[in-house]
Amino acid sequence: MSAHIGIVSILFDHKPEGICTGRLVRALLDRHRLSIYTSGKAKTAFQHPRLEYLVAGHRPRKPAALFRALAHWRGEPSSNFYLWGRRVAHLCPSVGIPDCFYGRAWPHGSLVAAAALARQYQRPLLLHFSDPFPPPNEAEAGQRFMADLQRMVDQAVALTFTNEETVAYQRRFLHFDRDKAFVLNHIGPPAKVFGPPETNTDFYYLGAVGPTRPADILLAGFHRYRQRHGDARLVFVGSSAEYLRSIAPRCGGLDNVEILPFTAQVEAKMRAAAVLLSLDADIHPAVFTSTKIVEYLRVDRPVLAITPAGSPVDKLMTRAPDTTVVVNRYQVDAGSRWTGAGCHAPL
Amino acid sequence: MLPYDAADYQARLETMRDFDAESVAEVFDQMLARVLNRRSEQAR
Repeated sequence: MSAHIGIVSILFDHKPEGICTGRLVRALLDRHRLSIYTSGKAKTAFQHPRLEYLVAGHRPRKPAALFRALAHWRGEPSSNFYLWGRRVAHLCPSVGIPDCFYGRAWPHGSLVAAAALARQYQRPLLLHFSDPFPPPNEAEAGQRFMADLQRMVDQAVALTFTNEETVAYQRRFLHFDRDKAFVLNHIGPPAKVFGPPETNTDFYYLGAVGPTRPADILLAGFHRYRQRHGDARLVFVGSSAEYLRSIAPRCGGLDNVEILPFTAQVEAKMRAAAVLLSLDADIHPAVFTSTKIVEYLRVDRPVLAITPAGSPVDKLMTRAPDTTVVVNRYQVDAGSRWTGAGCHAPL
Repeated sequence: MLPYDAADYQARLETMRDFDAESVAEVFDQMLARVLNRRSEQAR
């Protein structure tokens, strides 16, 4: 079947979820016509005869409390891109109204706008949850926020999640029939074969760390490893230096640790790595299949994941035991962390 | 350190086919057909 789909994605082709949406869109264009409802924050360079962008401005976004109050007064779900959502609702594709609307979070505002468009044109609504709400390890979402979300979930004919664990987690907070939920994997980038790494000393961690994504196991474990491999280096890319400095005193310091700024050119970092690191040991519950782990597994570098037994990452790594190492028997005290048997054997 | 073996990585890439754009788009199409058909049946 062929359809005209309205994809609602504030950060289309930008940031992890927008990039994943961009990859999905490129694949769907083989069969469907797509209208992308997006913002000035998106990347819209990609062109295709069956693709149309509908771009609305997203500023101002503050004061957020005022926009929340406005949404409440109008009886609408609140949005972290309130004005954008109102503007985009007035845009219409040149080929007519889409057959359905598919809102892709994150950000959450994409869901709100998709729900409004679907209501306005009486079309089916589909919603994608790149992350569940409230995200694990983060403060409880407000009651009103979750009630708004429930209304949109009730309106939707289908919900997509990135794995079964996230579906189960989300059903603890929102009511929906299991047959309304579908697992739609992250889309990985094209596979890359770099050849052997230039050094065998450099461990790379790409991405954020912080209070809701703690890195103390990683840092303490690295220093334990370095007792036997003194030339090993740990390189963080795009991680908060301030946060890492704050935990360093209790995790063995920052000797042989390098902290590099965020870069969009992650391929060069993956090529430089002897080992790529994944960490969700202190995320409770560990339900994520991150876009990062999918990207890691599509290049020719070993992956070391510190993750609870049975987590989605743990399960994914079992597909490739010859090139991955899972550490899930870490201890709670920093001095004895990173001591899983799986870690010692091949490294 | 793990020795580099290109064949191991090729095998790993094969196991990750369900994360290819084409595979995910196919899953999406199946879902879309199911929900739109269900909706048109309900409309009838």
